[in-house]
Amino acid sequence: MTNIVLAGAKYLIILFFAVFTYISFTAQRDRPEEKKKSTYRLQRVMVFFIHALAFLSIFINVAVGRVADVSILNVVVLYFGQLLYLIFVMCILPLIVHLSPGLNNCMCMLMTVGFIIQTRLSFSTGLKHLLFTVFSTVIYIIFTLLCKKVRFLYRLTWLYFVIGMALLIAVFIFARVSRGAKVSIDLGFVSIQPFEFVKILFVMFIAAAFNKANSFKTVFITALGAIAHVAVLVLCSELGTALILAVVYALMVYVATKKFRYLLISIAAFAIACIAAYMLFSHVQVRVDVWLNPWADIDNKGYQITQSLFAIGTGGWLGSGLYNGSPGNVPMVANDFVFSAISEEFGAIFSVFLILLCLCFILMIFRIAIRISRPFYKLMAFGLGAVYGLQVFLTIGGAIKFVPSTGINLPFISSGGSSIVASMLLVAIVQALYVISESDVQIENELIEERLVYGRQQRDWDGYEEEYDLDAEEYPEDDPDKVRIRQVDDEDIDVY
Amino acid sequence: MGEYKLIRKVNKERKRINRKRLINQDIFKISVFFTILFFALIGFLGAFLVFQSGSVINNTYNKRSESLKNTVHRGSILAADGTALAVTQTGEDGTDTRIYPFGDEFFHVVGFDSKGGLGMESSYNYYLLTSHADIFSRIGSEFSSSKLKGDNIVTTLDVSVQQAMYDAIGDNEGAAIAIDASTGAILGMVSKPDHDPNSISEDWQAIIDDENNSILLNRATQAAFTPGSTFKLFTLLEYYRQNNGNVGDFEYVCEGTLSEDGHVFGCPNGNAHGYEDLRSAFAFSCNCAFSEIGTTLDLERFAADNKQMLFNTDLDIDIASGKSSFSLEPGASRFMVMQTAFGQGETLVTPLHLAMVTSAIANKGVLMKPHLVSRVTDSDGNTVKNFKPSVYDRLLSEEEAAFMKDCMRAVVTDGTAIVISYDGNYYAYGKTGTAETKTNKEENYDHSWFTGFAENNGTVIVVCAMIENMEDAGITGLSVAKSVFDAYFN
Repeated sequence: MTNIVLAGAKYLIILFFAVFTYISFTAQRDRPEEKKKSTYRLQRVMVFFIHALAFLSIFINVAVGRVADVSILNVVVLYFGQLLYLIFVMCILPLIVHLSPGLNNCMCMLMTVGFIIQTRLSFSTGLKHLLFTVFSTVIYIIFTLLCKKVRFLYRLTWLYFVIGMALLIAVFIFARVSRGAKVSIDLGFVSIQPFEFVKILFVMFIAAAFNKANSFKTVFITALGAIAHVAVLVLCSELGTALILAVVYALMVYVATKKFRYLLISIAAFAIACIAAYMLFSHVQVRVDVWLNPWADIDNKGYQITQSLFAIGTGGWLGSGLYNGSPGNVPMVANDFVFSAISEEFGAIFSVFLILLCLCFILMIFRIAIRISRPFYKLMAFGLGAVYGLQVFLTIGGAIKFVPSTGINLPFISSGGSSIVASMLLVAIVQALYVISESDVQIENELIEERLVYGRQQRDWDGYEEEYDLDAEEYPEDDPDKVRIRQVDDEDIDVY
Repeated sequence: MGEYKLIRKVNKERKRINRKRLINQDIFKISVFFTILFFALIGFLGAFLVFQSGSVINNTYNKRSESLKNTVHRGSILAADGTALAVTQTGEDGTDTRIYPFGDEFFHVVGFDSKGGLGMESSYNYYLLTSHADIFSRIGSEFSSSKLKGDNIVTTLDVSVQQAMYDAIGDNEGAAIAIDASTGAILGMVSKPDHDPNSISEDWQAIIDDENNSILLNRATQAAFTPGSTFKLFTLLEYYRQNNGNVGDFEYVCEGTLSEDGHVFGCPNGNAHGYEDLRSAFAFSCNCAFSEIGTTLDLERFAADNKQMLFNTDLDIDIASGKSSFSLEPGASRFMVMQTAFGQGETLVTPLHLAMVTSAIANKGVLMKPHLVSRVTDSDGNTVKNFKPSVYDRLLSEEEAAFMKDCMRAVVTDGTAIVISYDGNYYAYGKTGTAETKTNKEENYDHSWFTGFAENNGTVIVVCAMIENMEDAGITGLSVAKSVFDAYFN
């Protein structure tokens, strides 16, 4: 009997997850939000179903005594803890604050996958994971509320740079070397991984710099800033984050300047930097060699990646089912290699949908960026989406040996307090940007309407700034970026 | 213009502009880039699962077999003709017992499953624990909590060859291996001492406590021994190579003994062979003649050529194997050169390696990759995976192989292996050897070697056999090989 339930739960989880991913994509179609309400409801139902089915499996496994050191009471308490949290974030939070329900639901789905796999890997980690998530949700709410009110963020360019660099240098000085890299600062009661936050600060730095101007001078100065960041990261041997910042910088410059040649120059510089890193640093060589042929040193350096491949391969398309695999054989399975554990026990079909869901999440963020008119916010949304996307790509790519493993966490799913808080912060900012994008689109639409109805434009962006923006005087008449917006808009609207 | 029309027009226009805004953005291009990137991830993951995971998860470093045992009945290991060599019997209470119908006979090659495993039971573990039943019966079995039947492994082993070898070696210590030269298929592999795999768990403690008795060592593949006169194959080949094939005018008069550097040595019991050409010197295994040949060789080239003949090399095959070693280098003493040339000295050879070189000679110089598995089938006998014969390397040129084959034929027709010259069902070729093991010289503890092949109608079987302590055993490598040839061709 239990077998029927376990097997049924396993296949239903794959099915529901596939449905969730599918409707997440369809929800991105351009339709009024009111018409999407039923889709969002279905998404929430899927999350609750998957969560319940997975915990049913965990419960049965605990009940028949296959899991050491965990009592049935533990499971029940953790389940309801997580359930209450999900109900709060998915059902109650949207009533309190204005946010994108699609993005919010996707985030909750990813968090649910994280809850399940962390609980399965180690009960205490699962509990910690929940507590960190609850804590970071407070930050999430505060940020979502604050971001709308705070109107001076685009002027703090150098503050972001200074804080980011200060964090990096602090890591370089104070962090102890663990697993070949300097990563976390131990504050006694808690250890923090500042790199997770530096990524966000870096995006804000670049976005703010390009808000003022997108001349060559800006490109040059920000390039120096980016190189400074990357250099300290390389000194800390944190190559994954260095890689992310470098690529995000190149992409943001391209979006800000719309000049393809900057992207080409960045790619060339990037290639040279990679070759130089390979020549200069032995640990880069080791990583690349292990990536090319992990089987040669299977006992030692190739151990982690080969164990990861064993996990994914043995799990197969349909997965072994919860507690039937041995993800514990993979070192760091709760962090960098959490994808292997998911693929082993949920199956590769589930993993494929997980990759698709992460892609959907990125596209949602990019879509918000597209709908924003003001460059600072637009660039920030885009940069944060790119950070998230690269992080997912490097983690999953590392676990399946598509790219060398870089020690990056999978946002919302990997364990680790800093990772959870930073991921939450990232989405909080994106949610605030969503509100901005909504108002921007509304203004745009009204402008279009006026033009069509009255045959000419009565008001323009400046008028709207005065009407909607509390800090209208922050925008001087000769603000260059404002002129830029109007030009772009005129181009678009000028269809008659 | 009516108000309704206007609203429609405005809405339509709004949509159009919004779409245009969307497409024209650079961010849209980056979105496409990320989409491609993520689909590449999915493609790579899919390709890994479809093409690679089967062989990857069979790696012995994958420790997941315990969990697979809960869902799959371990498949069978079968001989080439389908005879079961290892099967799983499921009792009424659902517990699986592994049965080895032939007992000791296939101990090292088939191995055993418990206690960490050995042989094919260990190296092909995941094939046996993987089920290729169709997806519906797999899902069905999950719901009904019944186990699936694992895949079967069809080996290249020939039961009659294996039994002939096993019986011929008897209770002595030694090893033998038989290979089909044209495919590289291993037909038989015996190493003694051995043990009954059916009772391995009960006797495990005694086996690992016994330090003198290396039962778990597969002497046929993993252990290297002094080759004795079988090494003359390599000396002869090298002499042929260094003289560009012009060896017809070689002549030598054997007086039975030689002295060098205060050592006296020579042909067995000091028997003088008298006048010889190269072919007869090889046929009678004349140590004096080969000592002289050795001293004429360019040692640097000898070492390089032996490296090419797979000495000091990890064999690139799917069978756990040891390395043969050859350490004669330029500057070695004349005495050492002479000793090495006829098979004493510091050279060590594994039976598998010698069999591989012999099979290359038998196969016109081309070595086929030795292998044990011909295919994997599902429990109904449908082929899941084929292991096709593949070329390992060309070891000798066709002329060299023909020359070596001719000399090996002389050994059988005129020389030391004349007992198998009877040309009933097959033509035999070979080289015998007697290796004095240094450590036991006083006790007259000699290993008897034979490596050679027999052919008939295009079928070529290579046998390499080695018997430890031939004096007490009363049998030789040659007699083991003869039993195998007789069994195979009759």
